[in-house]
Amino acid sequence: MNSEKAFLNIEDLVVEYVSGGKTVHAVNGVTFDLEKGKTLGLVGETGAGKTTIAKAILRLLPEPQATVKNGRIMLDGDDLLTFPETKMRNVRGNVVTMVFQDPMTALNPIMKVGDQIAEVIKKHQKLENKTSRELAQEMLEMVGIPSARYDEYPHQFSGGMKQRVVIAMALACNPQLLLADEPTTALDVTIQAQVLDMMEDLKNKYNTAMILITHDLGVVGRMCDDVAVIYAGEVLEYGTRKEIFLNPCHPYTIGLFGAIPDLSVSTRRLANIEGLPPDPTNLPEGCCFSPRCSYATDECRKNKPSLQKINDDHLCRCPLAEQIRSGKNGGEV
Amino acid sequence: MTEKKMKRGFKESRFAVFWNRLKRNRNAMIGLYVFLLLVVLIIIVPIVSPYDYAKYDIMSISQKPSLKHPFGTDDLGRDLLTRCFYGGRYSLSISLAAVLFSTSVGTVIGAITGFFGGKIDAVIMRMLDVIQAIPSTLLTIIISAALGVGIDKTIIAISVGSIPGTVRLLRGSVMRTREEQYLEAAEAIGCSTTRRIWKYVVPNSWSPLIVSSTMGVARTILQLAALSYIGLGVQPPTPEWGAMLSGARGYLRDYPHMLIFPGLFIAISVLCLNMFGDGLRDALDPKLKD
Amino acid sequence: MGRFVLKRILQMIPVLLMVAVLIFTILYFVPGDPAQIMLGSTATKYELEQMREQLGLTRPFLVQLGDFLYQTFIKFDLGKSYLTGAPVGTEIAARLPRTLILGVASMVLAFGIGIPLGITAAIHQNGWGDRISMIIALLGVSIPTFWLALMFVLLFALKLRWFPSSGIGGFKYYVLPTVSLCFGGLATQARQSRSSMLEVIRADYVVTARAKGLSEREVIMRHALPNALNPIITLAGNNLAVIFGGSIVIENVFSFPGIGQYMITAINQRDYPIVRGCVVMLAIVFAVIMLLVDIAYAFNDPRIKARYENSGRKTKVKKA
Repeated sequence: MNSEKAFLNIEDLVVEYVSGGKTVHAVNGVTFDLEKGKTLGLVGETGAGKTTIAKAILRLLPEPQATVKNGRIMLDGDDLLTFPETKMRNVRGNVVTMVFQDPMTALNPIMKVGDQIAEVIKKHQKLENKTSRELAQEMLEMVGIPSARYDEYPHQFSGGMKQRVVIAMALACNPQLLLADEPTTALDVTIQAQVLDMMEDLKNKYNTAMILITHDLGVVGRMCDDVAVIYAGEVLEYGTRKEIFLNPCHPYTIGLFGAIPDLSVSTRRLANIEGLPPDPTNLPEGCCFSPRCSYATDECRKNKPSLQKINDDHLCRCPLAEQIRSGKNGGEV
Repeated sequence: MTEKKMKRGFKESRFAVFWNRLKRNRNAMIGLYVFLLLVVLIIIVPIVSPYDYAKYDIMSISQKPSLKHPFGTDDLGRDLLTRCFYGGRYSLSISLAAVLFSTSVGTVIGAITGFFGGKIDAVIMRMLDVIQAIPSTLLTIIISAALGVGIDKTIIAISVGSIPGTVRLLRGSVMRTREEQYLEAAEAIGCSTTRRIWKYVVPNSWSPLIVSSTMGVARTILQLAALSYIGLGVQPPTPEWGAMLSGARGYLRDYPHMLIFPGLFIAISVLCLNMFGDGLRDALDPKLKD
Repeated sequence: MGRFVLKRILQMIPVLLMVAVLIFTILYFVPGDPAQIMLGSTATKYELEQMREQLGLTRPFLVQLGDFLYQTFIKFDLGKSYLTGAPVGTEIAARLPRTLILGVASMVLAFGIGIPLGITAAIHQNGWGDRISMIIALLGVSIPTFWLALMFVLLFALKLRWFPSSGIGGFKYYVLPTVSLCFGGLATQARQSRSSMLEVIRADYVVTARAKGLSEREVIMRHALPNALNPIITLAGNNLAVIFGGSIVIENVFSFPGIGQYMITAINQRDYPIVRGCVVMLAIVFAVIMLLVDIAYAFNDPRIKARYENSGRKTKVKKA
């Protein structure tokens, strides 16, 4: 991490929504980067701005309500935010693809599933109908669906199979960056494991970079190389999986994990923390977590802390990180 | 889970949130205020007017609009301005009564079929299919013809056509809400079935019902006017707007003002209700907006 | 598809039978004595009784109902007018084409203009075109159809003399009735199409389509529009009922000799065989059109088709 020449480099991204005359500060200065073949986990509660970050990368934010106010999204040396719409279309579905949260609604209900996969292949590889159909059938087989079901409609598929179709669509053009927005949240536990295995295999096969958005620490532990903890549109803690799991420094991360997490635990949901996330139309003045933080000082409530380096593999947005960390082993959290 | 919890938390202030959203909708507010103004005028104008809505005046038959009679007079010399406002009392109250009637009947039937499902539901839904196989204007005309003349009968005639819509709407809401967990909880603490319907299901279905009733009043005003116009609803000399138009239909060539003003009253009141109804719908279902 | 159509037609028959029963029952309880109407006020008591016997009015209700259904649906005989004795079927056959032309032309105009207008407005939401067309549409749903017709007559027939104000004849006679009849339906259709489209345009699968790198045009034409069509078609069915009902009143305004006018006159004269015949006929026409709407609907949505065809692997229909 922290390499300037990473494949994906997001710098100081700020996204705002205007809703009912109020400004929603959805993403407030997010910075991270990602190398090819690696997976970055974005972890945080609902409404923290994770999905907005992913949609901003693909420039799929609803217009005109949402605007990117600041920042750069460098992909392979180019800033996606400066691309004209036509150029961006070649990126979407081709170089960068996305797996959406809810497979139940992500597929067009009145289009054959196979056609939905073939569509993206045809669009980006400029192929004949027949070839794209064959390729789409291959993709179906690859995600474990018999190619004979090409002509069926989404309502004939189970949730897990729909998600496989969505994944097949996302991988059809061998993307270089895959954005997976809670790809398993809507699925049964048993199906979750299958889908994750499949995604990991496919990712390794094509050396794809992946951003995995999730609530599930088990998934993070299993899939991610790096982890960024997102809260109120900010990165509160960022580091390698090992650092974040074994050595969490931010009170929020520690709270999320409930106790020091165990890498071997297969699934664990985020723990509950007292209070609610701040209102994104009215963020607190200082540290955005200060209203819920038991360590918060007056200083925390007044001035926004910056991301501090804990070590080469670990950044944390808390001035008390060192104290908390040293006191953590003995004291309670 | 967290999302659901948050929704519950917001429930207390739901009305406030809704009202704020509605208040920001300029069209809805214009509709509401103009309609309220119209209602106030309908109450006051006939009282303060120097003319009687029913009294003939042979000296001023069929006068064009003037300072003395801003909307002119009709074929019997009655002041049209007074009659238009007075007629609003009939048009609006009959329409309102019809919507209240159809909404309450529809709500009861819809709640019952939605809640119990099964055979009752199947039978009632087939009956609705039959009623809806007849265009509602046609049904209204037939029922009105069968029942004969009279305001009470007119109210029934124009409400029957809109009962199936309400039933379906409420049945849908009820079926959706009854799956929800708090009903199980209510059952667990021993609430009776009727109590469960009235205490939990119906209040949760109110929002689409309010929108449809507001729009329903607008639609009913139009239906009532049409029915009266073809001679089956309110009969002249009662100054209901449609009946006034019906009575003046022969004067279109020579005294068009007799037909323009009552029609404008219908259009304005329906327009206001539709504007308000649109706003209500957007405020209750914000996903359609912005 | 053939199976679906057949099933739908079979479903239609009992509904139409029930409509006939309902109409017969409503009119059976109407006050007024047909014998009196036929013979006038000078008839003696004996004559009246004989006439009632002759008309079959002394038989029990159920027998009369059965006879009516038998005559209507098996022998296709709608009976004779009490007043003129003319066979109702023939009279209707002469008037039905006019009403159909009026209704279908209004329908085509209402859908042909209303649906594209609503969809374009939705795509350019909050733009100028959207605002203006929605204001016009709002006016359109708020103005009484028959009053608009009266105003058209005032302006285009009496003042400008472009079109005749009433009666029947060539093309010119259809213009004002059609335009005034379609206006409300057009406005309703535009409003509903707009909101259906707006709802679809925010759907997840539309975002998916954009994420595939499709152009905005492809997203709309291939993903948003086909899905928006379903609710649009459903609402179009409701609109049809409104247009058909409205035609009765419109015919009255223009003294247009169609079924509606025939029926209203008959209602005022208490000539019930005519009323029954007209309602049954209009219900049949309406049912056939709704059937076409349903077929269009199923054609567009594989989920509906699956419900009737049982050909798919799984027929379980899930909520989208």
